[in-house]
Amino acid sequence: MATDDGNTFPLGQAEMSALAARLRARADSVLFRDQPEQARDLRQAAELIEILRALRVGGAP
Amino acid sequence: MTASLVELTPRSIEALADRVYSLGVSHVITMTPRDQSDLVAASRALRRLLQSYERVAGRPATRHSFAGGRRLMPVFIRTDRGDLRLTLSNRGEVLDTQLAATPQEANRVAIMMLASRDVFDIGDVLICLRADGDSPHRRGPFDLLPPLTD
Repeated sequence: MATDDGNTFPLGQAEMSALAARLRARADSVLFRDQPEQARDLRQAAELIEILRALRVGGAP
Repeated sequence: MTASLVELTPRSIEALADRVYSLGVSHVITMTPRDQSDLVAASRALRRLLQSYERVAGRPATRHSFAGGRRLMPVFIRTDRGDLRLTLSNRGEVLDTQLAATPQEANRVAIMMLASRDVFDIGDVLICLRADGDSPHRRGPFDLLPPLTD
């Protein structure tokens, strides 16, 4: 199985949290008010990034 | 966890990663470089989440995740049959290509693609196909037309 040494995804916990917050903020912005599908994608991506962050906090490499 | 996330499957997460990446590298949607960088990073994060799933499950999350033990480059891999690809081309040269999740979104993206160009020249073709289909240059209806001449 392939391994991930972190080089392909260098974001740390705080950076992931900040990234998720920025994605949510953009999804909630007026710029995406007429593009609900893209806003939904950004919200889902933000929530999944928070899940990934939680997994790494829990001891995942 | 929201109800929308409960419905997500590895394939739909992969499709979401594709759409977010496509949005991040789009030339027709106005965003700051940082916003676009965030979207590309988000796409990578989603793929990292899929890798975590694979590590726990002991098997590929999607049929595209691995090939012969090697990891594939995580860009432009399409699995969600509902996704659409819009391609603006001229005489076989792809000028712009964008992904859309729904026909309604494809309509908006198509308008943006046309609006972002200074001219719509002779031979320009905008076509919408399933994202997991073959290239429009091999299967599109315009292949039936004779080549354009100046």
